[in-house]
Amino acid sequence: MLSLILAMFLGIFAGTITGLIPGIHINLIAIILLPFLIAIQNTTLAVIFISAMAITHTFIDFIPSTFLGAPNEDTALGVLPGHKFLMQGKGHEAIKLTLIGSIIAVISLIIIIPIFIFTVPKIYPTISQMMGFILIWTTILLILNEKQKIIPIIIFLLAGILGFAALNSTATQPILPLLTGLFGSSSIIYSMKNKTVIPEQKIEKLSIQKKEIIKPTLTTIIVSPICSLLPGLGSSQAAIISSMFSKQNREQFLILLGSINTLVISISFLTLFLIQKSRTGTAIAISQITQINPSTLTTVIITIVATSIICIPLTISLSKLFARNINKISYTKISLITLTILITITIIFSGIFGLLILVTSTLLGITCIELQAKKSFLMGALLIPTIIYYLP
Amino acid sequence: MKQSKLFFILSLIGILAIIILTQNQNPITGKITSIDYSNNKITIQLENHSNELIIFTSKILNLSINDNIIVEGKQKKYKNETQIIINKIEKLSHSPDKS
Repeated sequence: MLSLILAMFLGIFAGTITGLIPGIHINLIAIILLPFLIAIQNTTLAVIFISAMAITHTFIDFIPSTFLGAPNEDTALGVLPGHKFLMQGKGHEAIKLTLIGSIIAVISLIIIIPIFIFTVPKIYPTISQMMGFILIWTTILLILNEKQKIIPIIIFLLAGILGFAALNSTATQPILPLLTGLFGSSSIIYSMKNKTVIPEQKIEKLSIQKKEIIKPTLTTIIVSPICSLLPGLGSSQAAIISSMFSKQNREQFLILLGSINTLVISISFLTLFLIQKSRTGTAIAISQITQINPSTLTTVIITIVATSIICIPLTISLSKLFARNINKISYTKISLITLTILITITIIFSGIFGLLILVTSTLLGITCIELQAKKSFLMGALLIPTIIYYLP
Repeated sequence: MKQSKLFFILSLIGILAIIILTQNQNPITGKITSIDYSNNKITIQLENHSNELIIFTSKILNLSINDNIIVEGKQKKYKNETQIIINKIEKLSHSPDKS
């Protein structure tokens, strides 16, 4: 019993580290740690570790994406949703909203499991055949939602070409530099270039009414299961699409973002059990350690719930720590340190070719911000290769 | 020049460089010693190559043992074993079995 708890806490620790370093995706850590996890020859411990790490990551990763890389307000269209809160001194509030979303996700999981077990094996073969067309339609919806359409199309296509070339290159782990550049280092460099000054952050009680939570909760329950079957689609795109059908204010949008992020990871373990397929690297890592059966799935679900309970105070404490200190420390220094970490990690895991991908994706990310297009169009880097793969 | 234009041009140069470098990958050539068809996957083993070559497809390929092939692909780790996921495969010739 003690070893099981220890495995969970180690997973929470690892997920906290990966969550706090911008650009580090949980899939990468799962792949790196896989040989060690296979070597310990205790599948239960490995499964607990991976699922605890994955869930913790989804709780924590909004902290660096909110507090770091904020551009100035002229580029409001291109910024990530949390940055708008940060620039108003409400970074901690943004984190608390995504945290509410993550909690909703864990509760929703209990509702979704029986529905999913009944429906997914029946509908997945049809969805799989139509996957390419579903993703094309999703992309069209995202573009139609924009007032200015030409720039998003250009950004989406360029990201797609870059993604396709990177994924077919000799670089190992090409997704690491690709996503780090598009979403991490580009924002950091841009905020350094514009000498962004972060205002003092207020730590106040969250003023959101219970009825405001109902809308994102219902949307999450409908959208996340669909999104978890569609590879290449990030939680931001899923949140944007859902808000097109059900108008959400910016607080509700952050709740939605947090809930979809956590729920998609949670459901990925379920899809692995039901259809032996998953869109997340962590679930795939589990599949390489053990055959996923009802007992493994139960272990994963218990770990998700227990980890979430621990992650609530952990996320609040870390967010408060960031909020209290972000304007005391030189933002340029933090940005430089973060960039150095990202470049080092890229060279270690993806080599020199990876560095070229990082530089190019960073330039494209900056172009996207400069042209005031939504950064979610950069997900073309994964969507276009996925569409090409699935088209007959 | 407007900064956005400069970043745009530099992005294009970077993308072109990646495409050009990707095109110049060293292909693998060799004689097929085994070919296994399973659910949506074909596993090929070459005489002079220790790693398995994998193609994710449900199609039946016009390939058989002793065929000389040329492939382009990407190394991936699966269950701690290195595999080559094939992007492009071409049959060069067929070597008759000497035995």
